[in-house]
Amino acid sequence: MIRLNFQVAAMATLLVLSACAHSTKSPPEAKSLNPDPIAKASGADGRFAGLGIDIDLKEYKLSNGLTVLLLEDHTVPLIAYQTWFRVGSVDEAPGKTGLAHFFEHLMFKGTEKYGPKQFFLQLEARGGEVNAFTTRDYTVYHQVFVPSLLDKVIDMESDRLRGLKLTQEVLDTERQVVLEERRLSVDNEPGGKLQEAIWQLAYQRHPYRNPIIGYPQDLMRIKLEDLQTFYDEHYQPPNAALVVVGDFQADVVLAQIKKHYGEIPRESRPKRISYREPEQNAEKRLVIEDSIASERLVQAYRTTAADEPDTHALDVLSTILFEGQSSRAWRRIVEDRDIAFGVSGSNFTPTFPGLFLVTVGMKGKHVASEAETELDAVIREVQEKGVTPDEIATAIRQLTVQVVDGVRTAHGMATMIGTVYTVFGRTRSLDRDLVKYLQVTANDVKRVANQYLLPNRRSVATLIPKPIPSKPLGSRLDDSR
Amino acid sequence: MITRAFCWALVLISGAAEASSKLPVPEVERLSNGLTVVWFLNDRLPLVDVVVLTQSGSRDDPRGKSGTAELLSAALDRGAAGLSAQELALQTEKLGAAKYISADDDTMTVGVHGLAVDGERLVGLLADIVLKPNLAPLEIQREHARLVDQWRHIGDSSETLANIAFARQIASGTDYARGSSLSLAEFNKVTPLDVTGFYKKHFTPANSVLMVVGRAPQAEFKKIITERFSRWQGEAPKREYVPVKVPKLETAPGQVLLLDKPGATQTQVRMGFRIPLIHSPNRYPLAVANALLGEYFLSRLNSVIRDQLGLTYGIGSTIAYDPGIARIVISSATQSANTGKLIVKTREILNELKSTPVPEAELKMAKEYLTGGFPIGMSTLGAVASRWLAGYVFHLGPEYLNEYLPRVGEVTVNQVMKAVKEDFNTRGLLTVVAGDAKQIEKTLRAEGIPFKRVTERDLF
Repeated sequence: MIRLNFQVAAMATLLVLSACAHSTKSPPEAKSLNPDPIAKASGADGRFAGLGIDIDLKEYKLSNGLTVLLLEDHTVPLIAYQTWFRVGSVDEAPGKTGLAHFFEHLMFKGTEKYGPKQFFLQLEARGGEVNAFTTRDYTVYHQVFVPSLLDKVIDMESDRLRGLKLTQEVLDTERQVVLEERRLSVDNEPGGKLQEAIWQLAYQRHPYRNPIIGYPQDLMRIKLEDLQTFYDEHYQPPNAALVVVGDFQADVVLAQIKKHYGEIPRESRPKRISYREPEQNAEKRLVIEDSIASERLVQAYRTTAADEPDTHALDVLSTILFEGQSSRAWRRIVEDRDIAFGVSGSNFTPTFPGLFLVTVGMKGKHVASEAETELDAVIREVQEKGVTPDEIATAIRQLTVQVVDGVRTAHGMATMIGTVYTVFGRTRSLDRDLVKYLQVTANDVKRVANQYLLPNRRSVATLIPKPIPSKPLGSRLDDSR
Repeated sequence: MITRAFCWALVLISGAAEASSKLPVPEVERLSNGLTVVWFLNDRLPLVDVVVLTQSGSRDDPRGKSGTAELLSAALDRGAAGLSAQELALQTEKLGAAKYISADDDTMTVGVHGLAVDGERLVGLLADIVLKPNLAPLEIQREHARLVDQWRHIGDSSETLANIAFARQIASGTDYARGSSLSLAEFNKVTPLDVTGFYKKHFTPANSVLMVVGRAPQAEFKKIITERFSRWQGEAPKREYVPVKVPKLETAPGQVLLLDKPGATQTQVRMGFRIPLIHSPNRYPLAVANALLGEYFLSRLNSVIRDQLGLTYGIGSTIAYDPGIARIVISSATQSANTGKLIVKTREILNELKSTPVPEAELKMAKEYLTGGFPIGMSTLGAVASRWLAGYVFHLGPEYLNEYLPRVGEVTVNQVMKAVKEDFNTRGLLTVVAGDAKQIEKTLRAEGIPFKRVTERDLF
């Protein structure tokens, strides 16, 4: 059993989650407010006195290699049960994109013991929440339910870990569903289209360049044998971690888990290929057209993996630049220049080196190049003059609130634990990460800005309005003013 | 005087959940100026929200000047107590906190969310925004221009187009048809004076609720709330609602409204009808009927249209209640070529629900879904507070949450069938589709579905 201080876990999670967070910041001339527990915590002692939350996380490893992470929380009579598989789109071979995500659908199609839709019948139809998600690095199956259903969930989850029944009929129907999902989230969604484009542009060889949902042509080619091979390789106990948070007794649940999962034979853990992405030495650019009212811009700078030391400073930097209306980029681009209706940015640091992403939606007839000029100026200012300790303290406070928000529910807490465990591969050394995080200085932030936010390390994708024959509403609006 | 007006000691019992739980009990008081203050306190997490909800919204826009409430909500974020928008943002974000300001048809919300240790400062910030907004004319004009610019983007997404068209269509003839704004012509008539006038008329203590949710030392909070809010004065406003018809979007029975978005490869589909307001005796039977129709994976719509036919990634139905209107809305999306088929299948499912008694087992499942999901929906303090506030706005009385589980549990097949027969207006079923009209027309014709084609311009 290990005992984690909440703040340790929370701050470690920032390393992973802050990428998804918009960043923040307050301007350098701002006066510092009175120090408080959070601000003090960003000092040397590494403590966040005052938050007053502890996590008593218990970690076990079964003989077949399955990891089990248990956290009792008796606040409400609910349990969050999550199964994390270390398989994502990064594990897909060329021409086989979309396989990992496909399983997010197939895993609900039944086994010999529990036929199709049993998760919905046994859990959702009784008020439970049942769902799954896939990322570039991992796939997660998650439920929230009342404690009386726990034994059933353990039985069903352990059953489908190795007992999934794959059929051609299921493949054919679900292929159509996935294609619809792709049309919804990418093909008919300008933001989704732009995101797909920037990842493809930013990586030359690494599978991070591929969309998690897969390319349509690859989805159409998926065969039953592909599914079986992928399942047999990745859906194995050593490649999985159970995270259970909520109203239960850990020793009782552990016994149930051992009973149901313990019989599954041990297989070797699939080896994850470590692709070597070539160094980027020149800026890459792409322009695409869509039926939109004004231009949109995405920039992606190549940065670090989650467990690299500079990740901490990059997280703070992205927060200072982009989080909130007082952030440097928002002030300059949205407030002062008034050329965009929004700007956001984050340092996305997955298992392998990730991207520092910036997104801007332009106002009216303003073009993306105007935003690029302003963004360059904002970044140059940090590179030349640095940031203030006040800005760093503010960034840490904002990130702290985001993390605490994220763990308000058992599901949120389980997701945090699973993310940290899956990406870092450990829970025991989180305190080391915390110390590094809290030791970020103004010089560190200035240094990483100079090291990573360079034009020759970035890719730029611009979405521009496609001329259409009919007169768009925007023209009419402009005419009428 | 603080009274325990709402005693919610509640035992949650369902077919699936023998677990029991007590919902948090709010304390409710009324200040001498008429402001209702609600306390939802616990120490579980180091967070607090302080929120003022004002019971006026876009429905209360002055005649011919729709968009006033929306513009006010934007302007409230542009500075207060002499601080500029930037200074206000900085004051908030230095605390790691965030403010949120919004307007809908019936309410406006101003709130701040942050760490409990900053609670007093958060109350101060909220008081500044609510009681001392700058509402500077230049800032209001700037926000006006920003909103116009945002509206230019509604055509970027078929989903947005379908949502706006359907919302206007189903509410045509009521004061909900305007949405946040009926037209640019009306919005352009809204002046800074209208915005300040709306603020003065509607932002009054008698028309508002202040809620504290999370970790907060009550005595200290009460002191600062009293200091900052007790001098706030004003009566509840007199209402003058203006019904609106949108003939361009109205359709003949059975006719589909087709909103063209050239080049889209997927169609957004909205179908639905109005139902009685929330106080109807059919409320709980309708909740059960809607659940089995389209709220969960094994519901009728999803079972057929996604799971059997693979026509969509998702289809679902929801009951949307507002104080003055209620409707059931079915939402889905499908590739253009399948649009007609999806509509036909959905209509078949609705007709079958109306004509064939619901099996007992299906009824049981729907009830268990609703009652079993109740504790999950109530698992955070914020969620409970939110439900409480909804009950307050709808005047549902202090016992409405207590009633939920037993009332759902009592619903019978006969009650469901009666409610469906009375209130599922399948003859008046409205359907809006947004996508590439050229592609969609073929599929509608193939299925024999009449349609009326409109463009984005017809929405405003």
